[in-house]
Amino acid sequence: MNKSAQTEGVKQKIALWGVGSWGIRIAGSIQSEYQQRVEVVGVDSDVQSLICSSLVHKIIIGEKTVRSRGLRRDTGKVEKAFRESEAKIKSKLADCRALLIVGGLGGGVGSGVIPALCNCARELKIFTIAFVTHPFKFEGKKKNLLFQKAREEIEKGPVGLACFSLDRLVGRIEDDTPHEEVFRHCDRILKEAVECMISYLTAPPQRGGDYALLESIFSSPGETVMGIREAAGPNHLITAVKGALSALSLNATELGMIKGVLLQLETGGSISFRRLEQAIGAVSGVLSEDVDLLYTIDKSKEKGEKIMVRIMAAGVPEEGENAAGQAIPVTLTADRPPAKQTEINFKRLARGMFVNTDPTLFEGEDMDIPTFVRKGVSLE
Amino acid sequence: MTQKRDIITGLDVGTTKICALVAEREENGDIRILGVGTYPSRGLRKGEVINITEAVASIEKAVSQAENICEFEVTSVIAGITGSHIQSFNSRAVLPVANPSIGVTRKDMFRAIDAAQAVPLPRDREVLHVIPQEFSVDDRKGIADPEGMEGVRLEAQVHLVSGEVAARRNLVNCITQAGFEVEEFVLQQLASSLAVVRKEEQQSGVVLVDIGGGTTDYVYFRDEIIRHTRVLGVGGDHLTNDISLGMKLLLRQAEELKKKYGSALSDRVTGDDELAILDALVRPATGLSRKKLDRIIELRLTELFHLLRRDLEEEGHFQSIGSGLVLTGGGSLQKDIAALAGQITGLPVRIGTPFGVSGLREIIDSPIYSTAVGLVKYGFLRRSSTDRSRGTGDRVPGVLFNGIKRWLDRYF
Repeated sequence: MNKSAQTEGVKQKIALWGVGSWGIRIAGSIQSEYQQRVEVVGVDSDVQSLICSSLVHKIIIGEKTVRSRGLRRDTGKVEKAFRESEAKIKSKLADCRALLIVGGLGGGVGSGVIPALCNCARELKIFTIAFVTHPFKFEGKKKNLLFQKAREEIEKGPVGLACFSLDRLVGRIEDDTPHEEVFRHCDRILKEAVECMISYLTAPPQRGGDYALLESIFSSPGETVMGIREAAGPNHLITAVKGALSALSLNATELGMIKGVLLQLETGGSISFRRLEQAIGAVSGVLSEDVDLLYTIDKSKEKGEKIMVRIMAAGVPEEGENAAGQAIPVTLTADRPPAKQTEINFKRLARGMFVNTDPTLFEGEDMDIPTFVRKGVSLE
Repeated sequence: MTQKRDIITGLDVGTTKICALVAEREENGDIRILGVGTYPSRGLRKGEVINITEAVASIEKAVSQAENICEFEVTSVIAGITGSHIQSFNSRAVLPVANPSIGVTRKDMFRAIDAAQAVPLPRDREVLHVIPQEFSVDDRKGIADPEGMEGVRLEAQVHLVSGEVAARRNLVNCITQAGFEVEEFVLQQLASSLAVVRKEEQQSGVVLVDIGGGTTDYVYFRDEIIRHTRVLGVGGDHLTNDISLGMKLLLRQAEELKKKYGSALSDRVTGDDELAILDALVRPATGLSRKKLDRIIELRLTELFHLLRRDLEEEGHFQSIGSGLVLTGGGSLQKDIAALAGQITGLPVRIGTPFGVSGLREIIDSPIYSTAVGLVKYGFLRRSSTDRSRGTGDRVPGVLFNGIKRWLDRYF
């Protein structure tokens, strides 16, 4: 972080805390790429899971209370363990400007520690967003009740909550998909969601960092969904945006009920204003008029001329219900912007020997087309 | 008992030509070229295989030519790899030193390098090279060899080169079907740099630009460390295509005109000449303007060097280039190209030809053999490193290339 840019007395650090073995795994997968932007910390009562993790910063909670073992759904023990380590946790959080928490709420360490951590961050007036998962329905009522209890606790204060339903995440899988593949998919979605948020929070002020709006988006009741798509070639931005929208797996009615969207574009090339306008128009065109939409553009040399689009939409009613818990009325039409008539650029067809190959794109220009054609230079 | 000969074959599978080069390391360590074979490339576009059958036939012919000259049967090759799919970036990782009381160990260094290369890649991509750059111990930065230094925190910085799995597999299939085993793939510009860039240049900052038929590949060195690599999907074929479309000629006529008369500077010619081409069966052989030809070439190459300059500026390297540019590859033979590159970048520019090898000098003393010579030099360096590590029981990272003998010598 640029020290000269720091304002005295203003907290600068953004931290990502992975809670419980699953949260630690997700945080660990993010550490290598984002450690320059955020401080990644692992929190667990189970020493074994921390030992196995590659995270640089680790906090063991309740060493005396639980003697370095898991907490396993014992809320009394969780409270005691957390109180035991509270001073250590608060000191680590002292210089934080924003805190991202990731973990599961399925009755393990996450269910106990994440709400307590949110309380702690609330006391310290730290902007906080928790990324959690709603357990699978098949895991039983008890697990789902523990989830509800933990969720209610988190929602008490001004804390953002991005809650991903595991049932929705795996909604489209084939019957013969191996279970390891399914869990990997869930890990990836959570990881991408956290990365998307880090990208927004650490973007320059003109491209991100509206904390108030972000908090408002992620305070909406309901679930969060994520759509990711990468594209290359001509019109890659709009192709990727449409693909990511489709990957949200929501119908027109559900799309219309979204409360807020965070859109992240990641590319090595540059994006023209017109293309950006088109892309954001494509997103807002399928959403209701009062939706809050935030976007950020991340430069990544690794992407080259490809573009990666991540859309995180919050406030989606739980499957089969609207925000008030009623059955969703089916709408057959959705207001869409009228189609635009565009001009075909015939110069772009002058590709000669490269006519049947993928275009070589740099900043939206196809380098396979002769320079004199693209630049409009007369040879006579 | 006859001693086993230390022979390596480099295979440069380019978009316009395939070059096989067989070289032997003599007892005193000198590298001698035994055989060279070149054959026009078929079945490749922009550095990637688009027709396996045609590419296999071209590889067979190039290697067979080299075998005939040196009377040695080639069984395996070290091959160059390029293409628009190649991407590279720098990555770093910080780890605690395992035992601060004894300082940084080689094991710590390898752990840090391993952590720095643990970058998630899409399923269709893979890491081709992990090039260690430098280390930091606590707050001490820019350390080439931290072994034995005291500290609690070790940071490794590496340069990662990745490519598409399918592109590499296609190339492996072609070479295997031609009857040869692939010992290793090496990024083309890294190989070329071994052949034409000198140590002093690497120290003071140099950009090696290998202009091939389908791509322009470059690598930037500073303090003998590879800082940046990139592949631009624009090469000599784009010049030929531009000439063909601009002057309404067949591709082979455009290629002939480019090589015979073309210049990268259009204002070098006063007045205008009418050019003639030999291959006039289909199109008129006269009435072709030299000024028009040079203008087409100048526009394309100007754009290419501007792209190169901008990329280096954006990466923050441009101001640190002390030794300028070294142009190599077939594209560097274009007349006046060095002068144009110098005008655009404001840097000293030279054309790089292979050095540090003997035998068949009259053939290989040309920029078109840089990659092939670099491949065999790489092979011998690698072989020495592996031999040394066997002696000490240390491991050699699976995908190591330094481009700098210093690194190989220091660590293995």
